[in-house]
Amino acid sequence: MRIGVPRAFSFFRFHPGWKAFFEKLGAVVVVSPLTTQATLDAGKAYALPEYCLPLKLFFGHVHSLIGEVDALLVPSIRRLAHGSTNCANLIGLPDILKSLMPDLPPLISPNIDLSEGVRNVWMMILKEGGRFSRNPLLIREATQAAWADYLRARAAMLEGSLSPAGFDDLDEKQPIGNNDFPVAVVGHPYNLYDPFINHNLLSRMERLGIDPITPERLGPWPIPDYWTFEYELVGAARMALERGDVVGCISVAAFGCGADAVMLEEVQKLTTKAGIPLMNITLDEHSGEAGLVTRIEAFVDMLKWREKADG
Amino acid sequence: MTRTLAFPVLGELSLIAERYLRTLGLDVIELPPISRRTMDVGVQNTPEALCIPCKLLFGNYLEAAELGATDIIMLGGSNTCRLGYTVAQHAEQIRKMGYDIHPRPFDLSQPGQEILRVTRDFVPDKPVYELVGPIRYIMDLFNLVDEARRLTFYIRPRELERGASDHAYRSALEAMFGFEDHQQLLEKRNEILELIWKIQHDPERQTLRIGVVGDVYTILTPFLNHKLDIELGRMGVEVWSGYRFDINFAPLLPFVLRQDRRARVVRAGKSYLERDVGGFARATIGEATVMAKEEVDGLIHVSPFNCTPEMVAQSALVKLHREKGLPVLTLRFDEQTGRTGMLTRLEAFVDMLWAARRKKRSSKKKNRFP
Repeated sequence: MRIGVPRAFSFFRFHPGWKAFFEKLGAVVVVSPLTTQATLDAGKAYALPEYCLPLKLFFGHVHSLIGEVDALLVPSIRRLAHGSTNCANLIGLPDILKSLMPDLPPLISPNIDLSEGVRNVWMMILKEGGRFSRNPLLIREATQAAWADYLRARAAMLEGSLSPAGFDDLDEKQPIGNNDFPVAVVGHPYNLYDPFINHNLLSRMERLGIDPITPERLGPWPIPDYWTFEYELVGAARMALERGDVVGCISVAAFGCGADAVMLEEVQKLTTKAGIPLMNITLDEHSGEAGLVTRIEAFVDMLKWREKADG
Repeated sequence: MTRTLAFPVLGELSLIAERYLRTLGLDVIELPPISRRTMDVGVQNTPEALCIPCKLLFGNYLEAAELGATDIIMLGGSNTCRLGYTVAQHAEQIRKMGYDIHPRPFDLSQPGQEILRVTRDFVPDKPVYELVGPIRYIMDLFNLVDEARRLTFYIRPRELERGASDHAYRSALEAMFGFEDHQQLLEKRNEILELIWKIQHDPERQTLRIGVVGDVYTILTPFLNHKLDIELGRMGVEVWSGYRFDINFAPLLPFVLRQDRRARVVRAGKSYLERDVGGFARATIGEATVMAKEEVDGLIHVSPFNCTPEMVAQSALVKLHREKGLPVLTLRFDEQTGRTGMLTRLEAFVDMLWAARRKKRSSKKKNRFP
C-alpha cells in the first residue's frame, strides 16, 4: 500500500513520526514533490480564492499525489494540549478537501486531540493502524518507533543539523552554518521551510551573513496557551529574546491567517519591550520576490548599522 | 459592591439580554447603537488583520466602559474561533486605557445553557423559584421577537406602502418591551403581532424566497450588513433568516428523538462537516441544507472578511451547490465594504433567480402538457 503525504502543513512538523509509523506497518510513504508554480496553479483551481497561501498549496500537493497513491494522509489536528484550539481550516482539513476535490483516494484522517486522555489517543491510533495490521502489538511497536523517530528528529533540529526541509532523508546531516549574527525568524514551519512560499528566505539570509534562529532551533517548546500552534510564533519569539544575543526579529505569516492575526500583536509587544527591531513579512501568492529581497536587505543593513553604532 | 453590567449591541438579542438582566434586579447600561465612532475606536485599538465583528465588539466594550460599566459581557467562549481569544486581549486593552472592568465571557453557540450559567454567576443567592418567572419571561420574549421578525420578513416584499413594515416592526418591538412579566406578554401577544399584520399588503404578489445564512453577528447587525434584510425585502424577496430566536423545551429531549428544526439543522451540519471546526460553520451549512429542503430559490452567505470557520462552511456550501444546484451568493463584509457595491450584486442575484424561476416554470408546463 502506498500512502501519500502532501508536502504541506503538518508535514513540516510530524513527518519523521508518520514515516516510521507507516513503514513499520509495511506501507510505502510517498511525499509529494517540492512546491513549484505548477503546484500553486493546480491548487488554485480547487481552492476557494480567500484561502491562505499554504492551504492553496496543500490542494496543489494533493493534486500531484492523485493517481500515484492508494491512500492520502490528511490529519485533522484539533489540539495538542488541554484548553487550546486550532485554526478552523486545520481542524476541518479533511472536510474541506472532501467538499472541494472530487475523485480522491481514501483518506487517512485521524482526529488528533491530545486533551482527551491517553486511552482515547490509543484508540485513535489502533483505529487508524487497524487498516494495515490486525496485530495490536505491531501497532504498538510502530507507535513506539514513530515516537522515537520524532524525538530523534527534534533533537537533531535543536542541535541544528536537521531542518524540516530535509525530512525526506533523516540521516543526511546538513552543514551547520557558521554565521554569527543571530536574527530570530519566527513563524509556522510550513511558511519557513517551503522555499517557494517565502522566496528562499532562509538561504537568502544565510548568504547575507545572518544566522537565522528558527523555532525548531529553540527548545523546549512551551505548552500551547489558546492556539495549538502559535507557540511557534510567540513562544519562539520569547525564547529567542531570552537568549540575549539576538539582534533582530523577523516574523513570517501568511495573509489571512486567523490565528496569526491576533498573535502578531503579541510578538510586537515582546520585541518592543526588549527594544529589538521587528519586521513582519506577510505572504500571499502575489508577493513579489524583488520587493521581499529589498526589504530583507534593508532590514539586515539596518541591523548591522545599529550593531556598529552600539559598538 | 455595586455592579453595572453591559451587553454588546447585537440586534434584537441585546435588547432581550438587557431586559432579562434588568428583571433579575441588576443594574444594566443601555448601549447606543453601533455608529461610525464605534467602528473607528475598534479599528484603531485592535490588530489590523482582525475580523470586523471583533473590532466592532471592541468599540462596544469601550463605549460601555466609558458609560461606567464594571462587568462587561463579552461574546466568545473557550473553544470557538478567535473571538474566544480576543476576549482576554480586548479586556487587557481596555484596562490599559484606564478603565477597571471585569470580562464575563458568553458563548454564543449555546445561548440556552449560557443564559442559565450567566444567571447563576450574577445572582448566586437568589432561590430557584424566583428565577422561574424571568426565565419564562425571556423565553416568551424570544419567541415573540422571532414571530414578529418572521412576520415582517413575510410582509415586507408584499407591503403596498414602502417602509410601513419597518415602522410597524419597530413599534411592535417597543410594545413588546413595554411589559414586565410573561403573563401580560402572553395576553397582548396577538395585539402586538396585529400591529404588523394590519399593514396594507398584497398577499397575491409573486415573491422570491432567499435564505440568508452565515455568521450570526453579520446577520444580526444592520450597521455591518448595510440593512441586507430590508434591501432584499424591498426588491421583492422574502428573507429566510439563518438565525432564529425561538426557544423551546425540545433540547430537554434526548437528541435521537428530536425532530424539530434545530435538530435537523444540527444533523444536516454533521453530514457535511464531520468535525466541529468552531464558530458557526456547522450551523451555517446545516441551515443551508434545511433551507434547500424548504424550497428557497437561492442562498446568500454572509460573513465577515477573513472569518476562518465561515471559509470552511463555504467549502461545504460549494459542495451543496454542486449536489443540489442551489444558487449561492457569497457576501463578505469588512470596514471597507460599500453599500452600493452590495446592492448591485444583490440586484443581479435577484434578477438571475427570477430568470431561473421563469425557466423552471416553463419547463414544468412543458412536462405537464407534452
